[in-house]
Amino acid sequence: MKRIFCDVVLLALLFYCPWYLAAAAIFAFAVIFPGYWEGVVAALIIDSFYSVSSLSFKGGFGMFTLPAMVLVYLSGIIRSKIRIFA
Amino acid sequence: MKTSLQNKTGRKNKKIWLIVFVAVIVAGAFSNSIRFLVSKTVVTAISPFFRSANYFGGAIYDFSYFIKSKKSLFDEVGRLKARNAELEKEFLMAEPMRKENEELKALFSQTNKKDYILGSIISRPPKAPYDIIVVDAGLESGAKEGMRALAYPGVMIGTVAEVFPKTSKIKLISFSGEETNVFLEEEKVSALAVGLGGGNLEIKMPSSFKINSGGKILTEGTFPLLVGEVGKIEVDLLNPFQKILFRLPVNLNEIKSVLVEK
Repeated sequence: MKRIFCDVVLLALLFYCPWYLAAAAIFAFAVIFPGYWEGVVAALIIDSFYSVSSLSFKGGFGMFTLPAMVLVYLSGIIRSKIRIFA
Repeated sequence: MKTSLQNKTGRKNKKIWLIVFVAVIVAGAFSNSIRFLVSKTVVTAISPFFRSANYFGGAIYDFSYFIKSKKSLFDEVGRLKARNAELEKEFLMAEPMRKENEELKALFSQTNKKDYILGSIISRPPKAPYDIIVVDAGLESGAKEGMRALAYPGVMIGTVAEVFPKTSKIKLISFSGEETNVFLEEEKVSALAVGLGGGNLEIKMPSSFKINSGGKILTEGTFPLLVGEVGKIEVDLLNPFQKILFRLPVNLNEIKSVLVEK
């Protein structure tokens, strides 16, 4: 339920707010939730909408989507290695 | 109830889809044609949602006027009336010159009858990380890559960079590294304006040129378009060049649509 709420928040940020808020939300949710692939899809939407052919690797899918993918992957690895005692 | 074999197959399918997705994204990061194909699919699928979001955003903005205090509305109306009167005077002064200009050009058989495609803005900075706006006019409306985009007739803001069936991406002239040939009207000199991002542009000129702030900057050609006004001039005694900084002539948040010149 919490995750769905965060997905809705992310969508709202994507449609209404500046890109850096959506990017920050992707980062935060990728750290909070395991395997947050919704964040990668959101990053793909940002890249698809705003990248143009003249942009370099960094400006294409290398700007948001690839880093989001790496973040989700690393978050999974780190999550499996640490144990939190509440 | 799912059996362990069904669960295993489901996990395997999920893994395959994930690998395909990652492969497409990685390929898209390196190959421009794959990036374009993916972008086209995503933009076509998502742009209706962007349009609805804009509609709801607009409705909420309109509703906020009901809540605004009467005094602030009266103040705004007064300010806009004064500005309107000022612009009307400017227009009256410019009208005879415009007519004379058209007559002279007609005398030399050069007419400026342009057709435009109207495109509503779906997304713009700061929603966009770069100086790019997305409009709802695409291939089906006749937009083509390289066409000039105008905020108003005579005011250029960018060029069409990518075209999809129903949408286009417009790269603003202030896009970082974008070069535009311009003409400084007062100084009567050509220059190259380079985009700095965030709606800003820069011209580098030898320090020996005397540049006045506020002068109009136009595109080159027989029918020039306004691209800005000279803003800040940075002169460094140790540098033989001076920097002329200027901004896009319009506030992108104040325009709802753009004209794409056919």
